[in-house]
Amino acid sequence: MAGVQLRASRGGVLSAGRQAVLHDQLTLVELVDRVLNSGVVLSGDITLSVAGVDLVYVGLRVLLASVGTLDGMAEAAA
Amino acid sequence: MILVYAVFEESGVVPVLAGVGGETVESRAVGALAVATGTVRSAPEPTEESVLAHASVVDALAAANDAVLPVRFGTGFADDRALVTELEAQAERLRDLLPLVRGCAEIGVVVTTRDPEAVTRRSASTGSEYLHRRLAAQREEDRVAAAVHEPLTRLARAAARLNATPGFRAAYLVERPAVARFRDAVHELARRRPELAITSTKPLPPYSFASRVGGRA
Repeated sequence: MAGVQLRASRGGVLSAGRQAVLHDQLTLVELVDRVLNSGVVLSGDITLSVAGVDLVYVGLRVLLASVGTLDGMAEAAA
Repeated sequence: MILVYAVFEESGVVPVLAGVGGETVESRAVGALAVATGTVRSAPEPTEESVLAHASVVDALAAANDAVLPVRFGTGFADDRALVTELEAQAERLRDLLPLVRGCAEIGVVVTTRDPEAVTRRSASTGSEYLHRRLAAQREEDRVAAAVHEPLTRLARAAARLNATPGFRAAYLVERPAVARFRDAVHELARRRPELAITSTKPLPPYSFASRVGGRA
């Protein structure tokens, strides 16, 4: 599967390996977000509390690259 | 307790799968629809593992069928009667959504920018300057959205902007044969806008289009 293209703000292009890792992280975070917040809503007898999972999601989100993180990773790889 | 994973057509296929609680996932027909369900003794703990198990079941169902509507995590019914009653109440809406997602995958796109509000707070010395800069930052975000969202929407059957602070997130419903072309377009946008971090997800089941009327939002 083709990787996403990520560029640091100083113009450096992340390595293919780092792109792949970030691609997988992004997909995971976005998938968890969708499982929790999207999809068909049925009025069931039981709806699981997702408060704990939301915290997990926040943790994943923090891991996901912001521009600043990307900068740092690009610099570290340089 | 009956957990629900996805809605599909009565003729749909459910591969051999283990559900969130390790139970075997089954198909139950309700009129022209079918649902993938699992019967468990008690509600599973809402953990990351459970969420990913739910996602794995939906993934497998989406791989085996042309049209699948993922059900939000954590929906359970006390018995068959309650499940059937709810599905019958929603049958028309669900039947209408299935053609929208048929043959499509969802691709998420995230454009990460620096937090314009935080930048504004740091740099503005007066209230009016703050408001002026915040407006400029908002315009920049709108410009980014237009540069990314509009061309990608033209390549999708449907699109939806999602909440994101800061930056831009959206979901695109893309016909499976066009997924490679769509991702090429994302790469091209990233190449043209090196100041932005533009990323896309792998193809996902159409979560973002399973509870809305289709359209190019």
